[in-house]
Amino acid sequence: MECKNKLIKIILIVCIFAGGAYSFNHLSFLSKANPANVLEAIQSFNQSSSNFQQGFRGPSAGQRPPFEGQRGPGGHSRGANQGFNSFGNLLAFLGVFASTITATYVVDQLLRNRKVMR
Amino acid sequence: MEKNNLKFGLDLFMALGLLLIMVPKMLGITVHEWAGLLIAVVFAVHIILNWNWIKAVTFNFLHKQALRNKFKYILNLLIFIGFAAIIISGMYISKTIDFSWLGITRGQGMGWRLLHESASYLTFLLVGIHAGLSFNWILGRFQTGFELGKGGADYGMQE
Repeated sequence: MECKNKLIKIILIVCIFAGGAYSFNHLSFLSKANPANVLEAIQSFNQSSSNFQQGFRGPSAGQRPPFEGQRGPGGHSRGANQGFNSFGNLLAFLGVFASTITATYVVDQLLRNRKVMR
Repeated sequence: MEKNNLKFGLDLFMALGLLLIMVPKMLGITVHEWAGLLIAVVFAVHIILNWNWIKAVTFNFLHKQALRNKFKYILNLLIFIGFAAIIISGMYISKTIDFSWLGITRGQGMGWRLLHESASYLTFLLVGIHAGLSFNWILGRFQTGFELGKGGADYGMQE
């Protein structure tokens, strides 16, 4: 019985990690969660500021790109599939969240010398 | 123990809300923006409810203390900075809520949008790690079934 419970826990953890890895890739997490993007954003603020000082006028309201202008590999499609893709992305985020929690918990317990499988 | 129940309820609300607003197209941009503001308020309440821990670790940070506590403190600080970046950048790119009364002019370039998206994804990961470190406490809350009793101690909060 104990072996069976351990096996179930192992399978569950592996499934969570597998789902998380797939979701991570689907959402292009590596490119979107890249801290370099934050630096790029800050640099664009400096650029906008210097352009303003030189008399440059930014884009008007009509020329502003849409809210989610960046289309990554896991980007959204328009039209009838938009709702389905949103739900798919929601599940993907759930997968990433679950796998992050699980990975942290396992590592934390191992570091604290506790038994993960009881 | 009612404080623990309140904490757990708010944390659960925040986690679910965070998941939903990560996909703006799911519920629409209006709901996304208002839900973001609501989560910001709940986040502030979360900080207030855990203020004793924050104060204790802050004052003893340079003294001999468990490395795990220091790690959690730095992680929480990064989450705070992340949320601040998300909220402020969200105000600058807001389409349905008018923040001009705060002196915030809408549409100041792509930088704010990039910051908002990047900070969201990064903070989302950090929140996952934060929840993982507090998972014993979460399990304890489920085991007690929101009732007073054993297992409801602040695991991960008082170490």
